[in-house]
Amino acid sequence: MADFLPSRTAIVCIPNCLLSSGEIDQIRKSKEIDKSLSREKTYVKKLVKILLLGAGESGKSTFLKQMRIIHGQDFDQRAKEEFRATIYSNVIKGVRVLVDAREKLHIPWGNPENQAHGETVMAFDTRSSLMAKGMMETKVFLNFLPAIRALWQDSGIQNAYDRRREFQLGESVKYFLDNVDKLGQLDYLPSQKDILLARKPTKGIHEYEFEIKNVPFKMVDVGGQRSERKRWFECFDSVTSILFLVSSSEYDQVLMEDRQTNRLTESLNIFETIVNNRVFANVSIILFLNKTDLLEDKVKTVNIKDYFSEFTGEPHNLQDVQKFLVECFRNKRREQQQKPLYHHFTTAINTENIRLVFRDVKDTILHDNLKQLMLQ
Amino acid sequence: MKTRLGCLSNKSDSCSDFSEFLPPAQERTTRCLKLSNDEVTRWADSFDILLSNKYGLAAFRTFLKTEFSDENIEFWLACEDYKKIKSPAKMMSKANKIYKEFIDVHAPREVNIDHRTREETKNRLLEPTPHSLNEVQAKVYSLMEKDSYPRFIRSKIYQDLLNRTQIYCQRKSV
Repeated sequence: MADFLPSRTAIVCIPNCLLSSGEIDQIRKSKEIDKSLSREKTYVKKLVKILLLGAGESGKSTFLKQMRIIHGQDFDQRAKEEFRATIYSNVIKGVRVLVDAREKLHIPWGNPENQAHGETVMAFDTRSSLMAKGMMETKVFLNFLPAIRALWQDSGIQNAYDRRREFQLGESVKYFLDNVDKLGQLDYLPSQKDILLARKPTKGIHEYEFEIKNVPFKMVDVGGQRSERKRWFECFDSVTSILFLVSSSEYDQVLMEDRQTNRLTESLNIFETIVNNRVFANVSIILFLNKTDLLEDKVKTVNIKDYFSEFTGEPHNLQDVQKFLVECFRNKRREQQQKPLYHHFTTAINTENIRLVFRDVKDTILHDNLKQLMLQ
Repeated sequence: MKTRLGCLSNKSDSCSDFSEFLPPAQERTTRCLKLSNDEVTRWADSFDILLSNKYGLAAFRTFLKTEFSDENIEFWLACEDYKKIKSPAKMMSKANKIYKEFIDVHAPREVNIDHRTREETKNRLLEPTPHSLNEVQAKVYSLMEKDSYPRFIRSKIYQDLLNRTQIYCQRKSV
C-alpha cells in the first residue's frame, strides 16, 4: 500500500511538469474549435437556411413564432411572462395613442368624465412598469384597468379607433382591449393566440433552428423598418430560400418611418431590390401575402383604386384585389427568371393556416434544394 | 467555399470576443474571478441590473454584435454620457454628433425609431438641454429590453458565463 501511493502522486504531477495551465487551456480550446469547425462544416452542407424578409410589421416574427409552435418547443413559463409584459405594454401604449389621436383629431369625449382617465393614462411613465417584475407588472396594470376599460367604452375613443389609418396604431390593440378583463386576472398567462398577437419590433438579425424529418432548418428573422434593413446583407450568405412577407391589408396606410410613404408601395420597392438581386439568382423566393383576414375585412369598406389607380376590377371583391396584388409583385421582376415566383395568401396568426402553407413551402424548398444538390 | 469559411470565421470571432469577459487563464489560477455566479444570475432579473454591471454590459454588447444591432447599446451609452455634460457649448456639439450618428434618417448607425419621435427629438436638439434625448433613449432602451434582452438571457454567451462562474464557485467551496 505504501509503495502504491508514490506512483499515483507521480501521475498527478506529470501534467503540471510538462504543461503550464495556459498551454493546457490553449490545447483544449484548439481541440474544441476543430471539433466545432468539423461539425459546422457538415451542418452547413445539409442545412436549409430560410430568410424571412419584408417591411416592418409584415408578420415575419409572427411567422417565426408559428414555426416554434408547429415544429419546435412550446413557450415555457418564462417566455409567457415576457409576452405578458409585452402585452401589457401594447395595451397601455395603444390606449395612449388613441387618447392622443382623439385630441388631435378634435373628437369630443362621449363621456366628458373620461377626460380624467385619459390624463391618468397619458401621465403614466411606460418605462417604469417595464422594470417591474411578475406580480408587480400585473398590479401596475390592474391600477390602470378601470381607466382603460372606461376609455375603451367611450364613443369618442371608438371614433378615434375607426379613423386609425390616419395615425399609427398596432393591429392587435383592439383584440387585447376587447379582452382586457382577462389580462387583468392575477394569474393571467398569455394563451397561444395572445402570444401570436403580442407585438414587439424585432431588432437586428436573429436565428431560430429546428428539424423536420432530420433535415436541419435555420430561420433568420430580421427587423423590417428602414433602419433595420441596412444590415440585411449580413445574412445573405448560403441562403436556400426567401420567404418575403407582405402585409396585404395595408394598401391604405403609411409608414411608421416617415408617415407619408404608402406601406404597400414600400413593400413593392423592397421586393424589387430582393427579387432582382443577383445574389439570389438561384434562391427560391416565396411571396407570403399576409394578413388575409384583415384584407378580407378591408376590401369591403376601402377602395384600393383610391390608392392604386391602375387597379381594374371590382374593388370590393377579395379575389380581384388579391390577383392585383400578386400581379404588382410579379411585375417587379426585371428579367425573365428561370425560377418561378410562388405565392401564398397567409394569416400568420392562424396556426392551422401556417401549418398547411408551410407544408407546401417546405416541399417546394426541399425539392428545389435537392435539384441544386444534384447539380453540384 | 470561401463564403462558408467566412461564415465559420464569424463564429470563431464570437468565441474570441467571449474571452473579453474572463481574465486570462494565468490570472484565473492565482486570483478570484471578477465575476461571481450570483452576479451573473442577477442579470436575468432585470435589464437595468444587466446594464448597470460593467461585465453584463460588455456581454450584452457582444451579444448584440452577433445580431448586428449593437448600434442600439452604443446609442444608449452615448445618451448616458450626454446627460452628464455641463457646458452648453459641449452639449450642443455632442447633441449634434449623436443626431448625425444615430438619429438622422441617413445616419450611418441609425436606430429604429418612428417618425414622430425623430421629429420631436430634432426639434428639442435645436436648444439642447440635459433631458433632450430622454424620450428617444427610452424608446431604444425599451426596444432592447423587450426584443434583444430576452434572447440574450437564452443565448449561449450568457449560459456559458453562468456555467463557468458556477464551476468556479464549486471549486472554491472545495
